[in-house]
Amino acid sequence: MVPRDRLFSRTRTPVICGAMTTSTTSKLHVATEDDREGGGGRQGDSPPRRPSRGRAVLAGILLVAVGGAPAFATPSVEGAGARSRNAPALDRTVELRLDGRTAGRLLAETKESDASGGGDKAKADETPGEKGDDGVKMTVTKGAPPASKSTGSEDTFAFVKDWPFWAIVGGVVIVGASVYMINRNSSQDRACPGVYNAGCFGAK
Amino acid sequence: MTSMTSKTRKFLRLGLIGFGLLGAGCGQTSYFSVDVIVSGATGRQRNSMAEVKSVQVNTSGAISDESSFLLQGFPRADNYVYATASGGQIILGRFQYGTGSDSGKVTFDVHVKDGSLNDLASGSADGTIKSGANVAMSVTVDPVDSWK
Repeated sequence: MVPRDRLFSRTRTPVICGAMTTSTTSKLHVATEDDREGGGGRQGDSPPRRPSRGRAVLAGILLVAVGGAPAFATPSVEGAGARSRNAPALDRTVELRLDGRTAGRLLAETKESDASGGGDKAKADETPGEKGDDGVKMTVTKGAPPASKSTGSEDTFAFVKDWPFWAIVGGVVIVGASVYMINRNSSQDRACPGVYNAGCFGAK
Repeated sequence: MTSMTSKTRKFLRLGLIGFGLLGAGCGQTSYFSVDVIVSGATGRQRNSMAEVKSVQVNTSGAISDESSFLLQGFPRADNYVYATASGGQIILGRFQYGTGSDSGKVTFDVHVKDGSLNDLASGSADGTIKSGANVAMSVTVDPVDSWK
């Protein structure tokens, strides 16, 4: 029920209730006879007044005029849901340079989320991956992801600080030295003793 | 824990076996110390030894390397002093031969030649390998009739 003093101004012109936005024009409440009679009953001492046809026409004209006019009460930051589909594209564009697998997964997730919210036809009409729910235009680019920045030489050679690295290095050094010594001892030229005046032959 | 200990013991056993094989002469070289002796009266005459210009040895049997070679130091110098064996036989030369085989016999076939590569004497002998050891042996060559 709406109080009478809020429904009509002193000049008997209809008052629009609620926030005056373009999206809420459908909620425009114009006081009618039912509001004064059925809803409020006897309100105040003034006798009930029957709206004339001229007032109704005037209210209709005002309704049309207000509906087409810019709504000054609309917040400056407009929600994405209240945005018209004919509105120009957002200037803000996020370009994600993803590899093929990640791009495919992202597109699939977007499709799934759109399919789950199938009640909203406007959302379903929207191309997946073209615009997110928050109105941010996303561009999915296939290709190699950008090389991550190196965090510095300290991280590059961090493996030097780990003991397995030195264990492996030590093992390699020991094995190498052993192989070298065995090979050297097995293939060294064996000097022929002087007692063999005719020489030494065969295996060394 | 138990399996870890058993694995460690297994590795230790394998290591010991490997070192044992190495210590037992696996892969070691066995040697022969061979004296070449000329038999008969010719083998006791130093002037006859001056005719020897080369000595060729062919080996066969349990050998692992070269099977034919010429003894070094021939022809001998005029003032070369030959060693002698028992009975006054001149030792024409002494050489060493090695083989990688651990067992078996090696046969040495020796040909003493003159400047025209004609045989002055020839003979053969075989020796049994003692793994990792040096076996002393001699090959007695018998002079041909023309060199006697």
